[in-house]
Amino acid sequence: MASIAAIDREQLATPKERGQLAIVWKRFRKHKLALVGSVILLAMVGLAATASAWTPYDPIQAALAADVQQNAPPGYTNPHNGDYYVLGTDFIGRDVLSRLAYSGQISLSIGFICTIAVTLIGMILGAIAGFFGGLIDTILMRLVDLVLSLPFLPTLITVSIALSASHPDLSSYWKIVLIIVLLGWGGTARLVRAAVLSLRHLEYTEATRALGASNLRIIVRHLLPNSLAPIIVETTLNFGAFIVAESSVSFLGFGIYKPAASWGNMLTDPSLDLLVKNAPLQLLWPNLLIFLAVLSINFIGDALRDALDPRLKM
Amino acid sequence: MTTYLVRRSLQSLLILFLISIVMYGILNLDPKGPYAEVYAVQYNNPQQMQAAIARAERRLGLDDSLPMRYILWLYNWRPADENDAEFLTIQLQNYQDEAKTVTDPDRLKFVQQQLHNLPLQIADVNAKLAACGDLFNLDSLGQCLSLKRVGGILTANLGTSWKIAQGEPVLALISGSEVESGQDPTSFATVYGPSSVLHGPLANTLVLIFFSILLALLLAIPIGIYSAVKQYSVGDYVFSFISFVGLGLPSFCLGTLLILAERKGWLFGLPIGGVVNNPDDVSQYSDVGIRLSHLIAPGFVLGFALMAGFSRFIRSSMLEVLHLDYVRTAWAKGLKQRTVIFKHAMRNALIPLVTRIALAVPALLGGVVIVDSITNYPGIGGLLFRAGGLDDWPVLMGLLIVGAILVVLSNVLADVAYAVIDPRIRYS
Repeated sequence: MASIAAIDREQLATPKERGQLAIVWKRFRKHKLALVGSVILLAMVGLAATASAWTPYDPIQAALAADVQQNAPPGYTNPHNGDYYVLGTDFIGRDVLSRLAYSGQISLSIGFICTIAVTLIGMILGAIAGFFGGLIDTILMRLVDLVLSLPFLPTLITVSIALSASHPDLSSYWKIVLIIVLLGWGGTARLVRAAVLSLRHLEYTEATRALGASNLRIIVRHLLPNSLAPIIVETTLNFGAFIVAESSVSFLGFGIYKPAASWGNMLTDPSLDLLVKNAPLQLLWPNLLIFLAVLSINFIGDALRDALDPRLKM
Repeated sequence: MTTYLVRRSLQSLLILFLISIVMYGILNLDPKGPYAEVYAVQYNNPQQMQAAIARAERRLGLDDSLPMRYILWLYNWRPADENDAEFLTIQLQNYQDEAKTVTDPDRLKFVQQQLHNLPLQIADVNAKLAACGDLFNLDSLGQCLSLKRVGGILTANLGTSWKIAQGEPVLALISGSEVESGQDPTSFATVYGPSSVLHGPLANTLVLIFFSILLALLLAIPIGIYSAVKQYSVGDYVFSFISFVGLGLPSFCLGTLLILAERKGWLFGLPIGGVVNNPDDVSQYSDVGIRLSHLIAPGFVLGFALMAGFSRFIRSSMLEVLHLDYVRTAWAKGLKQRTVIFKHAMRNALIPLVTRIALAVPALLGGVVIVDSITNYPGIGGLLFRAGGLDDWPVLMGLLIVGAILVVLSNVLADVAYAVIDPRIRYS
């Protein structure tokens, strides 16, 4: 008798269900492609973040030596001073590898900053709209309609030009961040609003209110955590979309200005035609990096969608 | 449905109105407005410069407050300038009509005098307009911009281009009507060919968007259905891989790779750029074969990601439907595989696709800018790219308005098409 009671107590004390994170991780792990994608993305972020520590040459200034070789092939060693270029040099003799590393720094960090900002803004405005409803909801949602009705890339280009004209001292980096955030928050806000709206009248929210919780506490502690799954997926996909947006607008010449390197403007540095003619490999590297980054993010997003969906059986 | 349509249309108009306010505000972030460049003029004599700036400001309406400028941009009701060619032409016509009926000899004399003077004035104004080429002359620039400033955006007057095709109305530029060749410094006509609404930038872009959606659907529907029916087969994995490549490769990457392949001669002479082989040969514009061959490259760049997205979407939607009870009933009845898949499952699986297609339009409008700039396709995307590079504000603003109208229209279309196709949907 006593031993059975002890077993029961033991089972009660160590419940079978693990923490939510462990469940999510277990489901996420099943997507091998997402695991590979995570490793690739982490490696890219790590290499880009530490670019200044390991890149051998300056990404913007070419070596000052008079005998610097232009458009050198990968694995080129300068016979005069022994400088070694793993991926060769570009059209004015800058190290391609260093430029790729720094361009990754710019493209990834813009994507990252924009994603964080958009998620924060979207969560705050979406929660306010969904929780309070009424006039403020109408105004905010019309604003979302407005933002989502703007053709993204054309607006991005136009605002970029307008901002460059009116604020010439604003760096092209922060200009692009600012515009992407201004144009990108609509989707997240709409998503958060829908989630909050569906949770607002559930019993547990009523119960929390009956216990005397403030609006802020209900939103922050009870509504947002419960609507986190779709937000995380949206955030992941936004990261990819913003990287593509920055690269696209830089590719067209309205984003990050040369000589600073971004994945987009490296494809037109000095021009697409000249790259195709003289250095097709230099055209392939940035394309490969964008491809790997976006593909990895897509895989991670898909896996997260499955892993975070409580309706899916394991 | 009618009530819904009316409400939806009113909402769309409100959104367009708000968009126009926002865009106008952004373009006027600088207190000098988008006309900042006008001020970059150097005059030797400061007094002369002050006077020139004052004249330009008056002509451009910059002496008004920002809200007033916006209202005038919507609709300019102010009497036209006495030097305005359109105003003078209308006057001339009025006097010509009057000359036929007038009986009072004094009045007739006055009218005849006006009929003599007005053409001279018009010729003078036109001569000034022709001299518009000198951008760094404030007077001539102000002249160019104000000459066609009657009405406003509410009367479909989007203003006058500054640089791409100087002095041309923006609407004519976008639609492709009446763009006079030889008038512009960046050889607009050599890229866009003889003017015609049927192969103007807007028509070209709509054709390209339509073509790429068609291309995407023609590939995605069979692929999606195959992948769903033969889930986890080798074919499914291959198509999934292709889809992921399509989703991971932004259009500008695909475009640059396509150009690389073309220069290496791997495309067997597939034409890239333009809509016909020889823009000046009018007969080629009606040759379907030539037109199609020029659509393949830009259509592929634009449609590949679309195809990838669609086929993933059809696959999951089809998988969902295949597990429904009514499909199982169809199998149990002993229906042929073809009947179950194509008549029962596919029809329901494809319904959500309609919304998906319409909602792809905003992304396509962005893709068009990239495709046009890479493959040199003469659409509104290329126009935006050129206008952006040259800071041609009126063209940029006009293109944004046109783009916003297309996006809003496609959103409404998505809802309506959904209700028309799926009888279960009812709007009230």
